[in-house]
Amino acid sequence: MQYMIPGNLILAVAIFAIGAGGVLWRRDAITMFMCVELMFNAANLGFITLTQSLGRPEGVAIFLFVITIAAAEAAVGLALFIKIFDDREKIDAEDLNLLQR
Amino acid sequence: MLIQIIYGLFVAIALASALMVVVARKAIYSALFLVLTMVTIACMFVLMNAQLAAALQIIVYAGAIMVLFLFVIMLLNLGRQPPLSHRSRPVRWLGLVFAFGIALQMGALVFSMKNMLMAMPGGAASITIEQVARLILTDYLYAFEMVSVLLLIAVVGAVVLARRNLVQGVETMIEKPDVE
Repeated sequence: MQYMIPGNLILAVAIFAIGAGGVLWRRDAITMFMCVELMFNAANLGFITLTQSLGRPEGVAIFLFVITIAAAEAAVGLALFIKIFDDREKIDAEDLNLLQR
Repeated sequence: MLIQIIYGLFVAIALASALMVVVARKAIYSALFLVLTMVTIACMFVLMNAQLAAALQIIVYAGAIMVLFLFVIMLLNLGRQPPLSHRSRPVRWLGLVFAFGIALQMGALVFSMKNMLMAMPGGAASITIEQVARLILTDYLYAFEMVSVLLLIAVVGAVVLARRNLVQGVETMIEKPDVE
């Protein structure tokens, strides 16, 4: 069981980095959103790993908050994508540059 | 020994499916690989003896949130969309370097704490729902209330944003109330 704590933390770091790289690399907004979810998951893995090894319930409470915020973010973001898709036929993060002009 | 093999297998599946989320060509494949990643992470939680977190991960994440993603992919019909324009953008490579830097830095942090982490009592603790509920409704009460308000705002916002022609729809409803 001991190896799981550093193992899980390294795994969380790896998944977080994959998610961060995906957000910066991909261009369609839905996949970028999924990469954000990956980063949320990595954070959750770290919280649960440490809270289990310490035997304290704080991490599980934070895990609940993270899940709630992820759900709220997904709901609003996906609603926005539907609206953007009504305007343009695709959701390309490169094309959404109205604020850069 | 068996549990170590299972653990290694789960680590491999989690890493591979997380990578596939990023590199998969179609959004639907990304979503399905993301479900696989979440289920594997739930398996990690079970191995860590965190059954509550595992159940919530499956129900809320792999269930509710991913269904939302799949619905939007279905609604937008993203599978048939024309491929995105392939303009070269050197900033993307900078992003990869940035992600690699994050991994390196956080990995180095974990490695530097390796001895301390190995000395922790691993996975023996079982945290009950009662403990978590007591904590949320006492110490984290304000955070809990704020999060519930945030969720309400998000639900209302999503309905208002996603609805097509909200004002027009209300006007027609006022003009012809029997249409419903």
